[in-house]
Amino acid sequence: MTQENDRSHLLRKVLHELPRIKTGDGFEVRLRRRINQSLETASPRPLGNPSLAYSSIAVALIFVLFYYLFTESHINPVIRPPEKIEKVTRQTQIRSGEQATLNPAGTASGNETREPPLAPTLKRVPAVPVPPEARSHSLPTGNPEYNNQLAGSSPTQNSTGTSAAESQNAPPKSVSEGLTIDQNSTTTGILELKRYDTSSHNGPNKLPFTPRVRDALGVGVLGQGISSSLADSLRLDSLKKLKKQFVPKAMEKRPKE
Amino acid sequence: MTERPTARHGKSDEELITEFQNGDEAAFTQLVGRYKDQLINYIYRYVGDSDEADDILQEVFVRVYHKKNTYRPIAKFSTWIYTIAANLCKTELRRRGRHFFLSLSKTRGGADDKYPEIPDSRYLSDHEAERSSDHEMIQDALMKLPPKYREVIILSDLQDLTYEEISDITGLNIGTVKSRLNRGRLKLQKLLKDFI
Repeated sequence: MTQENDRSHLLRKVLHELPRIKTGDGFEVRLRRRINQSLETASPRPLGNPSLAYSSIAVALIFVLFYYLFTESHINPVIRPPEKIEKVTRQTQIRSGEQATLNPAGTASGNETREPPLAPTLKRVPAVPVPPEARSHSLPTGNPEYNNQLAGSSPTQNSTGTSAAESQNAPPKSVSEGLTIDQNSTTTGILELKRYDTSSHNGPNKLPFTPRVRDALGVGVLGQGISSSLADSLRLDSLKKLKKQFVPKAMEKRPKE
Repeated sequence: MTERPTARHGKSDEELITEFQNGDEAAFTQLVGRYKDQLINYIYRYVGDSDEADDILQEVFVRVYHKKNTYRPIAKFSTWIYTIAANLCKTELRRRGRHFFLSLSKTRGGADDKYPEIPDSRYLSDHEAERSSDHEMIQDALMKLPPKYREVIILSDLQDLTYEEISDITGLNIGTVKSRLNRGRLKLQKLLKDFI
């Protein structure tokens, strides 16, 4: 260890004793000359290549030309994104109409004001003015407790329930006349069935499309056309059975006015 | 022992460079007089060639002349000018290595197809013994050191700069400076084992 220290100390001493080199005599003169040369080469700035200037002017002119073409003139090449084609399937149409009908608040406002979606195979029929009593038939007002649970609305809506029952008993309009989901009393009844079926499981805003209700609505058949599905007598029978099973008797019995 | 030029003429280096920044050319001349000898030593020990050292030294002062306004008094002037010199030395060594590589490839691919003459050390000993003195041996040993060790050894043992100054010039941590110093000295001892 001490030997290494000694050697290191000796090395430093040897390095210190190295002869100092000095610059030449005319170093300052040479330096001054070099500085002057660098100043001379640096001060006159080259004007540059004239072709570069011409090309830059040409590019600027092209920019100006395009600017006037696309901004000042009426040619506005606005690039629009491709229009998103709104693909509304039949099921979603029905669901949307159905949800408007089955507004859990019990107001059925969407059903009153909005024209229900049409089935694809059916012709679009202008909205037939329906008396307000008949229009409110979709409200499940037959059971006041249920009604209060869902919407917290007052039981005074029972009066509308009677009119709804009337409209349910009224003979259904012919399918070929222009069947819409909301206007068809049978379909409305099915929707009510669905509502009764699903409201006990879920919240007021969530109405799942359970397979049973799906069958009752004939959604699978709806793809081929509502008219054919409704014409199926077997399906109608099953629907009636379901209706009898699920709809409380209070809705069946309507008070005579 | 290198004479520290700062206190020689009363004005500090920073005051002189400030005057030079304000347009006083005499201040620049004073700075040249202060630093030319110690810088030529540093550069010569670094690159190993006196002619190249003279050119590099001129380039250092030319850069100081042109880049005077880039100096900020937050750093010492000596650190700044040594950093310029060190960078130019590294550039020169890189250029030299590149030039050597290019000349090798050019020679091999050229029309003459000559191989570079590699001196045989067996026949050099007598010639070297004639011409070289002790300090030339030391200089040769320094040149055999890797540049990163050579730089710190020259700055520390020949220029008598402190660890902090070496750290500022090289941009290394003080610990790295110390470790490189130790390793470099050990390597140099091995190279000069016959001499020491």
